[in-house]
Amino acid sequence: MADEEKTGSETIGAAGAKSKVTLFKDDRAEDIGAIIVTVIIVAVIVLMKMH
Amino acid sequence: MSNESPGFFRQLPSALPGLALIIVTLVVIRTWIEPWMAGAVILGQKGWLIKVFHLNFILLGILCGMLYRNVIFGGSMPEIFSNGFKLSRLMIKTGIIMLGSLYTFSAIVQLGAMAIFLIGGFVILTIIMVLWLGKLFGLDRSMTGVLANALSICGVSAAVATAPAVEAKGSQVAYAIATILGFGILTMFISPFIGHALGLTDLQYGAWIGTGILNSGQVLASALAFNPNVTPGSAVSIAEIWNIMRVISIPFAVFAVTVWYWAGQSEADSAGKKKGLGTLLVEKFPVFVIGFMVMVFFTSMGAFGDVGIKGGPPASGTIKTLRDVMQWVFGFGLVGLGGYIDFKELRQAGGAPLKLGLIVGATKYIMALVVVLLIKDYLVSI
Amino acid sequence: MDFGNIVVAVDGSEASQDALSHAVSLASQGNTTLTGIFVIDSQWADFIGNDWQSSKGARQGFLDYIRKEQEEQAEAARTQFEQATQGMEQAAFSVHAGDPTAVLLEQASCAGTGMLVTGRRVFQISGRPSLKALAVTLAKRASRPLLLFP
Repeated sequence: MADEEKTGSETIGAAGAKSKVTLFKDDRAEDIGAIIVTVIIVAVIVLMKMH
Repeated sequence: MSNESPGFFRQLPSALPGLALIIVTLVVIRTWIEPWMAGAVILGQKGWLIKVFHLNFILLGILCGMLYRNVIFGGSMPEIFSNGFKLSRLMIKTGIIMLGSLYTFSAIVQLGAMAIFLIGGFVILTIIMVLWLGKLFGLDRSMTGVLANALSICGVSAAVATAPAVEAKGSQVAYAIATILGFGILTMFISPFIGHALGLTDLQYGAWIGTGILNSGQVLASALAFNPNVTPGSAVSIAEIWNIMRVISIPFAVFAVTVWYWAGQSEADSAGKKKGLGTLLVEKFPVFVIGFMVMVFFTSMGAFGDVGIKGGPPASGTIKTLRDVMQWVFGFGLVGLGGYIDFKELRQAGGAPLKLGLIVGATKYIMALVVVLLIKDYLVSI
Repeated sequence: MDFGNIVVAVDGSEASQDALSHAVSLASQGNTTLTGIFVIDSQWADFIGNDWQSSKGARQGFLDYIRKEQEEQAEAARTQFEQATQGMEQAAFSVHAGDPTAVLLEQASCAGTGMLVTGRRVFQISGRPSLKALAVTLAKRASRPLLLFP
């Protein structure tokens, strides 16, 4: 900092990534994820009961 | 600044520790703690904890989640568990979609009609009350708008959906949320007591808390705390229909409050900021509800065998397994949601939003119980 | 008197003006470095996380909206800081992300900090309720000299 010639302040640091509530792209992707998980669970149960 | 976060599957490994903690917690509760509580003799009574406190794995799970954040981890989720806990909402949505296997179309229509009638009436009453009290307490229009939707529709989800539309400040929303959560958590723990003490049926209880509890997380928790069974006609099967009706109404409520808010502002200010109903519907419609309806469709078609409605043939093996899985899925999700309750935020709630929130929240909670008891003969069971 | 590096919390509002003016005059007197600091609150996602119902734009739209509000405040804080430090050579402004209480506490306990100067009501404009206890927490747990303004 000392060897820079300046008369005001400088900005350092980063604001960080934007915060999210979900691991998905957005909430709608989470909804679709939930539908897919349900399909998998139901498929597994139905298949198990068939045998 | 890079705002793009890595995709779901790349983040999944980092979610494993948190997920493991949630799973282990619930497995320990259901395998050891619940059976111990049922057999333990306290104050000379066998199963005292269950009989007096109505503790079950759902309530214990939520309590553990709260304990993790507030006591064990000292106020915030450690980085290592944080991504795993973010999966809790995915689990609850999955549970809700699977819940579609409890209903036939005719049951949905009957329950939905009742729900619309009760919710509609209470939404209108609550909004009027909030607008009036907001003026009385001298709250500004943004704050009043956020509180109106939050207290009338479904708590935090409605608050955050409304905030940008009425240009609410962060701190305003923060106080509204803290009030709603605090009240929601209080009602979540006392409702099962009141329900059992008054000898409410599952139908009455579900209709009451579906109408009277502010926040969707606590409606679900409180229904399962009253009766952890996931079967047609159980508290959760009733309350969640109410919940779904509430979430569907969010875009409409945001629209209504937006219109009210901008009516008080100058034309120039509102240009380009006011969103139409069409845009709001596209933006805010919850897609998981479609999954739920598809599930109802398959169930109605008999895709999974008999559903085990009272008086009918017993539920098929597929349906029974589905219900067992649902209990676990809801349990996992609620341990996770418990981990998002932060006492240091709730402790600092205060001011006019708290006063208004408590008055309106308590009125709604009590009135909903009174109305449900008054119309109990007209409530149709499924 | 040498204070070492002086760190001052700035949020662009009146709540930080007194603290900032004082920090500037202390830094000029002691001829020390001055660091202005603004914290973008990363805890909002957790704060609204108890609710599971959502739709496409609702939750993330809200987080983006709050984020924008805070970025505007960071900008206002930078302007406020630059105005106050005009002509000073050893002044830097930094933006952090995290829980404001935790970030300030870290600053107040870091060996590189000569003194932390802050207003009691700093970061409350778009803050969560727990930030009301920020000053109390700092007073209780800071290990470096701390100057609190009402």
